[in-house]
Amino acid sequence: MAHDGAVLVIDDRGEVAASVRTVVGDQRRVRVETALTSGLGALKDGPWNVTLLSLDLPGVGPELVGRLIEEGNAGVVVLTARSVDAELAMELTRLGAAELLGVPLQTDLLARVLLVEVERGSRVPLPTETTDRELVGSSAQLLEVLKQVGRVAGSGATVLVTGESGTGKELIARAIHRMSPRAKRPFVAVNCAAIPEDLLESELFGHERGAFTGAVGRKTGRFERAHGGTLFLDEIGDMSLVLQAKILRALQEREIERLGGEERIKVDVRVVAATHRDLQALVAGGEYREDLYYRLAVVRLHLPALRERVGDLRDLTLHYAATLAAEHRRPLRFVSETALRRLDAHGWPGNVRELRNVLERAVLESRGDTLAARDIKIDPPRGLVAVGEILPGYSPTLTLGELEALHIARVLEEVDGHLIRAAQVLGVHRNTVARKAREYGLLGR
Amino acid sequence: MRRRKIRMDQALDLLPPLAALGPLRSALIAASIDDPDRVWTGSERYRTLETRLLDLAALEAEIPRVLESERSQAEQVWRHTLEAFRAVEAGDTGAAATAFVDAGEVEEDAGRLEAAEILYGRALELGRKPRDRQPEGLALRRLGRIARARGDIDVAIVRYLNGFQIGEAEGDVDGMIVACQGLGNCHVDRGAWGEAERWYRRGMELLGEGHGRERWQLEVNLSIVARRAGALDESAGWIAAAQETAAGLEEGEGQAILANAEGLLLAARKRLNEAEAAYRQAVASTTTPAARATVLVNLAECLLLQGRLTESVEVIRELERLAIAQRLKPFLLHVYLGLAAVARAEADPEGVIFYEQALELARGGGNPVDVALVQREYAGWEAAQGMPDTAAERLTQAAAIFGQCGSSHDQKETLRELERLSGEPPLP
Repeated sequence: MAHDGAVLVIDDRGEVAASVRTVVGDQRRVRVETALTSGLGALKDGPWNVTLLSLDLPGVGPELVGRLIEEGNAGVVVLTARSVDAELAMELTRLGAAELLGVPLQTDLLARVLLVEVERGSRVPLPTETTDRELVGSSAQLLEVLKQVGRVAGSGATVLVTGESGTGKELIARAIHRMSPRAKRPFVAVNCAAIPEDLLESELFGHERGAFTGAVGRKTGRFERAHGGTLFLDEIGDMSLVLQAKILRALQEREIERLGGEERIKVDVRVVAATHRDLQALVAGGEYREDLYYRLAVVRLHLPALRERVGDLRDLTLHYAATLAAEHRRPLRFVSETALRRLDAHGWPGNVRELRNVLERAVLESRGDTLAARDIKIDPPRGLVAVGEILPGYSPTLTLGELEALHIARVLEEVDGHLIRAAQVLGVHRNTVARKAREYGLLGR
Repeated sequence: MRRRKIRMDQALDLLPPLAALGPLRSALIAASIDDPDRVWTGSERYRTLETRLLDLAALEAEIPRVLESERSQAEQVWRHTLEAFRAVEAGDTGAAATAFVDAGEVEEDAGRLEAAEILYGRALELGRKPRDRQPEGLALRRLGRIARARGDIDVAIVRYLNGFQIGEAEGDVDGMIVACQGLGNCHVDRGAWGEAERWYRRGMELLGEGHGRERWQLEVNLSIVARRAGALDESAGWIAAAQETAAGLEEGEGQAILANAEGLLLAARKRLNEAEAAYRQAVASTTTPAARATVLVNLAECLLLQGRLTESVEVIRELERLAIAQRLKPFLLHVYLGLAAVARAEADPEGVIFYEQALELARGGGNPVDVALVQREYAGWEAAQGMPDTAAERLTQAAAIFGQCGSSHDQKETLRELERLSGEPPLP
């Protein structure tokens, strides 16, 4: 049986229950259990909107708190204790507790915590209408990109879209096409990294029958199929120098030749290219043609990483949870706040693609009408090279000390130098952060 | 320029085609890893065997294991050969033939079909003795198995038939039962359900009241034939009989095979949710990687048919990991055909990647029927992508291959598809 808006107090101190009743008044139902056993029993009658749990009850510790948060029935978990240990506070916050309040409770603080959580609810409703659009978000960072799309779409100029993997470069390419005069003509995409080299040339330019072993029949390549429309060359940084030369020729002369053919075929395509690689660095290293780079980068658009799109994570989560629930026919109507907090704590090296992937698995695992924290499974970073994307400056030649210094510096940067917040992120005491930061010369940067 | 790991397609091209390096070739696959540079990129979902990277440290670590395996196999073949010489010395060519069959089985288990065929052939020559032809029958049945593995169904049937006749003449009932199984399997490959059923039933008659593995295997095979012929109730009856037979046996894989058969039957009845449950039960019951892989193929297809593409891909990628780690190379063909089927369901033009990978594997696998099967699937995708000309070419090639291999049922199906593609009326 659900108790929307109701508060469960598991505390043997009468003053705590009294404070809660004072704050919420008649607005919400309050149930009080003075022993852990009966409190755990009451949880089974949930889900509850907010649960206040005394850390001073025997048997209550981080393990139990973590379990209750995972299970989801407790809703938002607020902990109370006579004395607050800083390390324990960090541990409990890391586990997902919303707040740790000292007893005797300060009413204004309690009110701030309780009413916000009660008002907001432990669950956030999903949008009831799903849309096809995938460019979701209202952050200033995203809006700036979309404004640029609006400015360049009509021009016909070649566009190079850059950004980390999974930031939505193809979506931007499609948006450019949709807003261009070529919108009614084909949009043809090619993933240059996915298709093996020996096949890629044939895919791009087509082939005549018998051009090579296995060339059954004539094949029209993607340049031709995109004629009049837009050709999206994804992962263009992963192309051999030989193919780069052929692409350059096609862009310059606006003509192609099928493999094994002799006819020069005119093609009228607007090219949008994308890469997560640093093309200029590749040019400097001799792995990419400078002339092709300049031909592609007539207009450059850069997509921000998800972690830089302030506020968009929640919008994207709700959007994807709703659309994926509809797609997989799951009866989801809410996402729990603890699930949102868990998502918020992740760095998203795979950006929106990773988020969508995690949410899809979570939707498939979900039970009931709420996507809970227990449904969220985030894999640890895969592969050493992938670490380089989330930790710029990383190299496999770093010593452990250098690696530690790099990470601490990065965290301090993220939290604007705030040592306590850095300690929470790193999972160590504030004093430890301060000492290491001094040791590595990171203070005062 | 920074060091970059070698891609599998490069590694396989680099490896010289020497017999001595043959074992290293299959170790390359087991020593490969996903490309970490592709994590979260758009190309990651299209990763195939070719785009995996060679982990040289893992390959180096594999070398002692591979060498030991090769040494052990070579020793077994030599010792069986020594046995054969001893038997000839003692004037017992029948025993010599059996020893060469044992040697052939070592090679066959290692996937070296050509070597196995040579050894079985030697066994056949030695076994041709008027007074005791059982070894000859044994060699013929093994040669039949090799021919079937190569897709040479007509040759396989002749060999199994000869093996059956010799068994009959020699009163070798066990040998006759094995030949019946082989003949039934060959006719299943041809799509000749009636003929397949006839041979399986003959095997059951020969078994008489006997129970054991042979009985429930025949019962399972009869259920498969009935299902393929559309007699679903009859198929259910055979599965029930097999379950009863297997219940009394210590059959580790029995439960998995039966649950798998049940899954196939439920899928044929379009009861896909129940089929999925049966497959999952089968997966949980498997005791060998090959059996697990077989069921995963069916489970992935079941999920695809339900439109659960994400889950189908997850199962297929699990199959891929299993096939690579356990060196079950034939299953990699199913992996890329499965991913291709998902790409087709999504109308994804990059599906070409999976079809090409599957074709590469089929061509390297030694069974032309596999090439024909891939070409047929590829043609279906090309037709859907608006490439009827190349689709028609592929179907023509596939039909020719099926015809050459004696797979008349598949040939007819392929020709029907070709007719549909060209817009002409289908064959009567």
